Amino acid sequence: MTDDPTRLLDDEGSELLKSLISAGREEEPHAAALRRTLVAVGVAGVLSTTSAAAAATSTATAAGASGTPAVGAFASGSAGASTAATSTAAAGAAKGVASSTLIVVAKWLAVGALTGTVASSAVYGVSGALTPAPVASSASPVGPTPSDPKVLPRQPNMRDELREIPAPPAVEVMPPPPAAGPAPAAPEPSAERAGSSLAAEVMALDSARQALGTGDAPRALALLNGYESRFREPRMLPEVLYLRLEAFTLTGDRASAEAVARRILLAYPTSPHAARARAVLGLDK
Amino acid sequence: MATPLSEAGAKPAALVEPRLARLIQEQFGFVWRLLRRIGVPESDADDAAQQVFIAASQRIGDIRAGSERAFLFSTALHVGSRMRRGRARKREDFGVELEEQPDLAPTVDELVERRRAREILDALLEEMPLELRVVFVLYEIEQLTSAEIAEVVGTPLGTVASRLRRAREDFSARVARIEARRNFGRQGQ
Repeated sequence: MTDDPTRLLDDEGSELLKSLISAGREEEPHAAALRRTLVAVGVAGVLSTTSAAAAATSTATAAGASGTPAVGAFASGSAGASTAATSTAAAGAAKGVASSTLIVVAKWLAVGALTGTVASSAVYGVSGALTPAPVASSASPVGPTPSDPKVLPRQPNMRDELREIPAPPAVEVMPPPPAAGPAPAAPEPSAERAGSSLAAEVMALDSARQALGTGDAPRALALLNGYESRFREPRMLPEVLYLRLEAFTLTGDRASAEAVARRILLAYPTSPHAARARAVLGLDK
Repeated sequence: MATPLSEAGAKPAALVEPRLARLIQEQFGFVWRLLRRIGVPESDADDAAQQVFIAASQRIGDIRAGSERAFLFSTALHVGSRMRRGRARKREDFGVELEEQPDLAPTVDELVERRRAREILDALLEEMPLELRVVFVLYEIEQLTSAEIAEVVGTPLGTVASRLRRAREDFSARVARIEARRNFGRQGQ
């Protein structure tokens, strides 16, 4: 073990020097970028179900609480806890029982405080006109871990975005998706109203993402079809297109995959998904 | 280019695992900031970070527990350098030559604007050799210990200490020159 020198920010340096170091430390990616990466890698569904289950568990004992127990549960980061949470969520989702309402509500109540990822999907494409929900300020799951407190000392932007989480809406729970079929549910007029269906949009995409994650591309495509027919003004279209791209790739439908890739490049040329689209089209050398 | 799901072939579910999700969630900020400090412009940082984690997803089975950050570090350096080679190094993207830009000397009020401060920080780092820069960034900005840096970078501890000392001296000297110019400018007004 060596004696590390005092860091410049803590030393007797000039105000300018400290300001520069401080500015570097404080720069953070947007929560949406994290969310997109989770989606691109194919683990957003895992994370959201894990979080939802943990949230549901904590909500069951303390509905409307600050979410601190859930934060602690996640922060422990143990594989066992995650596995248990995931299986709990999976069981709940598979059954499609009424508790899915609880899970969705819990998702909006506590997931934001837990992970910032599902919450970020709410932020994603949201105008910000929605009422902020209270978020535990200490909940920074993308921040330092107990074993390594110095890696991510601050996440101000993440927290800022989390403050934009809408208050739990009158949640519309998406019915359990059919084993196969064009649409998971008949369009509901209320579901198409702006600001009222964000939770349903997230749930719909989560279902498609999970289907894709298990290799069931046809079902994922069916769920995405349902999503697009159900939500006339989708706020998560880039993610929909990305999931379509992956689903078509998985099924070997190259023509459709390339068509979606071109659509992504046309509509969202600077998005993170554009890189994947370019790869599919062979434009990245 | 990465194909996270399709290349997984018959077992895409292998990608859907809590370890990978946690890795992304816990280290995304670290990777993103590292990319920024090694010169990836903000407009490309999201893309670059995503590429790093896609690479991690494809190798997650090979990454030993405890070595995740070292993998992410080396991958980020690779992605960052490739991205920088791929684009013309415009001055507005990668900072400026301090000696040619006397107006870089900021007032204290300007430093309230963090963006401005980061531009100056990146301009200073840009002039630092990469091997010094990464050690400086990991120590002063990411606040890793020297031992952690040695592990992440794969360099002996003594080398880390030496590079860190040189980097700090270099950085402090450059900042002092900016301050001297600022003071000189004030006196001339």
